[in-house]
Amino acid sequence: MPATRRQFIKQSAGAVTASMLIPKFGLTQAFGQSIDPSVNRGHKLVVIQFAGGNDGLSNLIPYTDSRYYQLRPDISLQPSDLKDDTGATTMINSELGLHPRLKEIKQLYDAGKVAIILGVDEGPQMSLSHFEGTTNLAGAGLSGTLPKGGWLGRYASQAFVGQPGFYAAGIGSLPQMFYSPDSSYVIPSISSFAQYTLQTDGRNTRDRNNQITAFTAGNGRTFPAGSFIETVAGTGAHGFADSVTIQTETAKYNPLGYPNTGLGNFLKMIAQLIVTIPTSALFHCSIGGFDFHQNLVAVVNGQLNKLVNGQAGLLMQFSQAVKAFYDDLDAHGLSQNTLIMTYSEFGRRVQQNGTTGADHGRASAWYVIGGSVHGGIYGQQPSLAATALDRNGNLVGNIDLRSIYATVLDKWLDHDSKSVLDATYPDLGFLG
Amino acid sequence: MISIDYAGASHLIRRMGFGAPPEDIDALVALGSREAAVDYLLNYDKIDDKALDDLITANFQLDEVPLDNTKFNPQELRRLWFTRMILTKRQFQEKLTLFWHNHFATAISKVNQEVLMQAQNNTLRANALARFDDLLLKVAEEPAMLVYLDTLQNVRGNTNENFARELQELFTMGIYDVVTGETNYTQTDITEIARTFTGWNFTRPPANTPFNYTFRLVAASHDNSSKTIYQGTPFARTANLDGADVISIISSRPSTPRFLVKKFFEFFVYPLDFSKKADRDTADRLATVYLNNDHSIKEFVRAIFTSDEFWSDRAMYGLIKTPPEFIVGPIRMLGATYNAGGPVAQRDNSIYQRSALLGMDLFNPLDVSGWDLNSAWINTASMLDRYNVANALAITRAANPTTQQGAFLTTDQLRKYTKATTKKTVKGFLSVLNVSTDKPTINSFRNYLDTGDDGVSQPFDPSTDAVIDKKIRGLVHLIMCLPEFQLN
Repeated sequence: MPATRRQFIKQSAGAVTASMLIPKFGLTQAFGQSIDPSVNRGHKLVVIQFAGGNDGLSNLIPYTDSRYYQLRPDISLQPSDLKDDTGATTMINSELGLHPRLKEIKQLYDAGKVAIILGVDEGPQMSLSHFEGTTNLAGAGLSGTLPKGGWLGRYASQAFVGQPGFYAAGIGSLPQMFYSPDSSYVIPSISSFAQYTLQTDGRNTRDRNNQITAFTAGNGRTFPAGSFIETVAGTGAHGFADSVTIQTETAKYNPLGYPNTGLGNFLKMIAQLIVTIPTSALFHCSIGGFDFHQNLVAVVNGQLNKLVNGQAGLLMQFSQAVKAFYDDLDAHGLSQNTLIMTYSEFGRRVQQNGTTGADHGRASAWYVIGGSVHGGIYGQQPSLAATALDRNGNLVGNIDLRSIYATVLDKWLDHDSKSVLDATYPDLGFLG
Repeated sequence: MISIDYAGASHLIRRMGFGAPPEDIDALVALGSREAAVDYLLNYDKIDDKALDDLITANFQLDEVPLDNTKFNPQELRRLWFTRMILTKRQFQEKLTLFWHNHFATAISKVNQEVLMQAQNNTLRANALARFDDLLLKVAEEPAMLVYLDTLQNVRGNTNENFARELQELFTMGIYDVVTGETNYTQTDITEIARTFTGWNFTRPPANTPFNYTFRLVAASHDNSSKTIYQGTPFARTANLDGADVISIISSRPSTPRFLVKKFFEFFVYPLDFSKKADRDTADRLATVYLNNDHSIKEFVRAIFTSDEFWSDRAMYGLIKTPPEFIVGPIRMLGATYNAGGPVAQRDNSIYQRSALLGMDLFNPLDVSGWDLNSAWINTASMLDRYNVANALAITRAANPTTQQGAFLTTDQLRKYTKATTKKTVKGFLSVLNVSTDKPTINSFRNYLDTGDDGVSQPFDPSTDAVIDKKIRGLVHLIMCLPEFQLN
């Protein structure tokens, strides 16, 4: 069984040896050490949520499948649509094409940096509720509840607890998959670096240290384990310490070239943290609006437009932001150290509804992107045949999302996946 | 009748409202019993709130048509509600409206029209204590909900299941009964119920009453054939049901009040743990009150606030303050000034922005499940934000208290609770802010008052305005940063 990161940190607390400086199993000498940020770091994981239920069939278009055109007369893309704005094809094989607005993702795919996992499914028992779907994949128990927090919250509590540095943040908001199992290690959410400091009376700056002394006394006390007040005090004290680090470090790097979109700004903040704080390891951000009960293909100037707004607009935002982020990290020699994975709570119904949208469905496609990924297609495109759909007309996939988590835990974070997922799942092979 | 003491009355007004200054808490104690105090707060329609009504008329432009977006807009929507929360004498009405907003959550991010959000808010406020069926039907017919959950697109032959799903999952029963764990409905029920809400629509109001939308059924879009719901259960029905029938059927299912107990408790009492029999019994007992009183929310909440559970040690400080409680509470407790600003220039936008910063952007929840409560408010970033929002109230001064908009503390307000000694001063402010803490913390605050610039020892001298302006503002900030103050 591979060592957990926490075990490694304990082992490496003494002298740093030459062999430890060689990247191995994703571990580095960086944790707890003060090193030149331009040299090798540990593996980073950046998770991007497609909130609302991302339509897999609008990401990977089965352009030779007559059922696709039969069930989606108004919201399908024709083979002739599958080219980007320079005319380059977005087809990736003889059956599937990426959405034309995934231009930059296609470029990264061609460079072998993108794994596309088809047919990711939570199974027939899921009620297709946004909340149950999100909670299921956050907890990875597929039970509709979070009895032990989120899977990455569990990972964080095993890997980072008791470590003084800054490791993880939800950018913009805190997702359920980052929820702590026991409040031992609560991941923060950060919306703005400028706000991330303890403010005191600007008219009495020479009273500030007096206030900090009393503040620290009040929030440094111990309280009964598991109580609300323990959570509040411990989290507050940790937050204050982190704020000092983040204020100091992120000011050292202001990246350029990111699209001024919600996701673009989130990824820019993540890049600032990754580049300036060596312990940075785990991030999440979200792009919302995929719940296209209507206008999956939007009406623009009175006509359906498959390339503007709707699903196309969100995919373009995703594609452009990820490309800027990848290039930024690459320029810092960090693209090999950083893994991006996307997820969504479910896919959408195969048959379009009456409002050029699609209702909640099942299987969808997820992306894993990074310099160390084995690019390509994993899993199978679910069949659209009437006999293959479930009784509600939904795609049935054959990839259990927990096998994706297990692959990331075992092969990227070098962390025993069973300790997080309570069971063993197959390695999908896109890493390692 | 059980007598009520000062700590009990403080607990009650923090839960049924946002908190109160000492004289108001004394007045609740003087009512003599828990039941009488609950009754007073519950019968809010008997409390004169004309001063607030007049202030709103003077500071907002709600009656001036046409109601263009210079007069009413997303900022004004929020300024209006926080003005109500801070200044109303009917505290429970606003608190309950906040609860229902979180329960029947809609978001301006999708509804996109502030007038519809305000219309729904008015409906929630006016019907906050009605029969549950009646409130739910009004909510379902509100344009904000018709837009938010796509009911406008739900037409015969082309159904949209969004509302039918959330009606059952979030507004009434939950997927699983919270007590028995039994599954309450199936995907087939969602599909069938979606058909009962086909053709639901609304009519725009006349220009002179801009918030008075009315419900309209578009007959041509409504599915008039038979629907079968809850087949194979005791609640099975096959008939040409419409949405109002379904609301009535669901409101009568015992799973609904049990689910409401869960929701009310996590907002007003303490989070229930349904793995424990005692908590399942609590849900069952209070659900029975609902069922035996014709689904009256008023009698249901009276039973909650007079229950042993509500007055137990587990309930005392057993919740984490929501952002509005954290923001509005100390303004009320300290008797801080709040000027809403407006009606045109210098409208105050600072207060609702603080709530958004702390994670509760009113009228704009992330999704239809509303905001997660209690621990969900707490992470290292939101704690820093709380400390900074506390600082903003503590250090905001007013050059001219009659004209400056927003919330602020004057030197006179701070002097009111400042005593000659550090011991009495610290004790006084802890009491006003409803905080009970330990001796080391009290001592650290006394040391703070006895320390001059840059850590130099300097005995506290409250006789000068300068000392009050520095050290008492600092003390208020520090108390609001305490872990104890985050609890409700």
